Amino acid sequence: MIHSRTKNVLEQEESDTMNPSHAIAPSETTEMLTIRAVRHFPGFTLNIDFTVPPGLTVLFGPSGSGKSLTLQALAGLCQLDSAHIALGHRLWHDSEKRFFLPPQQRRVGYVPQSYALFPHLNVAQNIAFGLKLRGQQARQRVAELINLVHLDGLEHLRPAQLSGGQQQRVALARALATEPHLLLLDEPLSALDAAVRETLREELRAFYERVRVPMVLVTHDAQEAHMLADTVVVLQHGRVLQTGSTEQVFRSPGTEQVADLVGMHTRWHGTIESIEQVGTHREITLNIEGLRLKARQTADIASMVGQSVTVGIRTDELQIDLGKSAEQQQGIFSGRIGTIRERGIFSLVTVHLSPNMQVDIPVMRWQQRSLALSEGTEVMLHIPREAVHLFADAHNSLK
Amino acid sequence: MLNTNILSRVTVPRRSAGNAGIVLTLLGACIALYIIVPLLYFLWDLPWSSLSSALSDPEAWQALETSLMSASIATVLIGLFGIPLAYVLARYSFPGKELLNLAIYLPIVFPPVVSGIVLLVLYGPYGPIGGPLTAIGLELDDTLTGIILAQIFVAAPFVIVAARSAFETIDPRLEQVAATLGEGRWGLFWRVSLPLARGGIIAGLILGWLRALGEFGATVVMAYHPYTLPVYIYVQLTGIGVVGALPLALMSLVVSVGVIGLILLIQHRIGKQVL
Repeated sequence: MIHSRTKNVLEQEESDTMNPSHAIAPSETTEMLTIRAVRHFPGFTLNIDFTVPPGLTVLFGPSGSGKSLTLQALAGLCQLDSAHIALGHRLWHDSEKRFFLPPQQRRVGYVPQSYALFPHLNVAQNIAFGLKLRGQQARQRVAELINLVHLDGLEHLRPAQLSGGQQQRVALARALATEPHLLLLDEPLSALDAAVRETLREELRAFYERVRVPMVLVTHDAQEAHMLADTVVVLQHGRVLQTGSTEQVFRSPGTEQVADLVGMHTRWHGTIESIEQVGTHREITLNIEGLRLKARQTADIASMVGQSVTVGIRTDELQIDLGKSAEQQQGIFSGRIGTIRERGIFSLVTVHLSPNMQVDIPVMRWQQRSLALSEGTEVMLHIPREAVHLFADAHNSLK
Repeated sequence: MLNTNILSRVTVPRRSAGNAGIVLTLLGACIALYIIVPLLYFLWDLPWSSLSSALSDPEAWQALETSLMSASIATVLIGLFGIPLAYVLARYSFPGKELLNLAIYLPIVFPPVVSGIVLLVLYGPYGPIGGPLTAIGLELDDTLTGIILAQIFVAAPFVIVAARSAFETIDPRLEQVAATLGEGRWGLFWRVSLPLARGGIIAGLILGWLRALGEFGATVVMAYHPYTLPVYIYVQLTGIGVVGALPLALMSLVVSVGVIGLILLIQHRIGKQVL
């Protein structure tokens, strides 16, 4: 019963993976956000370059990777050595043409970390700060915005009297008041308690669906990036490692560095044994320490038989079961459980397939109990082709 | 069981801190008494019977008026020019900024008499500015203007330093957000920086006003006449002696206590520690 259900989910995901890069649709190219920016600091260089479609873009990377700086560059709030920044046909910065549009004229809504609400103004005054309207029109617009972010009744409170979540909503409403072309959110959830953060993630995505203003959001939290983003830009040490749809970045990280950042930690090394064309894809058979793994690959990557490759494993695609098998079936391997580590609502079960091949699999508690998994248990591991990710960069290893 | 455990854990550090507490309290009490006792003895010893006659001295009231007026005008002028300077020092960097920062402290470290001499050399009847003005009948020394010049010189640093640190403590992101909301430099100053620095600026202005009100050294050199209250007290002290100066000292004390009351009221109103 349970297994058939898991299988359904797998099939669904399979069809999802067949459709890469859905976020970059050609019809939207007119409103692409483009930034190339260089800034040298003592001990740190920001050198970023990416183009993203309108939608919710997440700048994702560890702290100190230059995410916030990139956001400030987009707002026109930080000095750059050289830059080209444009939103669709609107040029914001072009150092070659000696053109710089100041932040006052960019019409961006900027929500910095911990919101920077004006402490001397109440909620309504904060929201009205950037309005050019006066009198009745201004009051009406503020009322609309307050309603949009569900702050009715709190108009006359000061920021210090609000909860973190309410402050965030004031900051969003204030940023929206000027009808911005782009919303910039710097770690919008990091100032909040873990309990509130979960709810507000969903609220934030719902908010985006309501207002539909292109957004760039900064986070160091992989889960947050995964939940919120249409497009993800992965940053590290001031550089862009990968730009792509959420699906691409999290399921098919371009490099091992990105894989580490998005939580794909398992790495196996092997060689390509055979390649078979199936429609637009290729079925690759890999030999990893004598085990035969199947993988799928899009046609645009050159690979050849005999090539040594590195694979990453999507551990959420693995199925664990009891019993012994002599690998009669495709993609099923026997292994032994090494350690089981508690991770809150699930456990990380380390399965050893061979002395050099092991993988940490997230297993729910009920599953662990019903299979009576414990350290030393002999198990069967199903590694479907969807679980195997071939790193594109490893293909250079023959050259 | 658990309770006694917690209690014993608390009392141990408390008792050892208690000894230090007693020592610190005694040391603090010494200086507090040193300040309070003379004031109390002064009030007790005052020849209250002769007070009314002394207070009917019109020159005393004239001196008080001169003091209040000059200190207030000086404070307004300090605010008008000092707050912009404080903002510039807090927000912009330019060559020589550090030197300027130090120069502003000079009137605080100078003996006030030296400040007076420095001013007299420039604004006095033989100085490059005071000379020509005297020639056309605009004397700076020995006028209310001279008093105000002396008070500005001595009191301005208090306002500038207080306002600068008030501007510096404002989160720069507030101004960044205001900029993205379309607000220009001028608007940033009026709508964000100035209201947020208000508490610190008010504190600085009160401090500056008090400093101007009590100013003696620079004033007595720059403008002996018209008498300010401190100068008149000095005149009475040297002419008649302590008895002549006592009622005036009381007058000065009343003004000071009144100002402290005012500060407490403001502090209560804006909910911030001013001094």
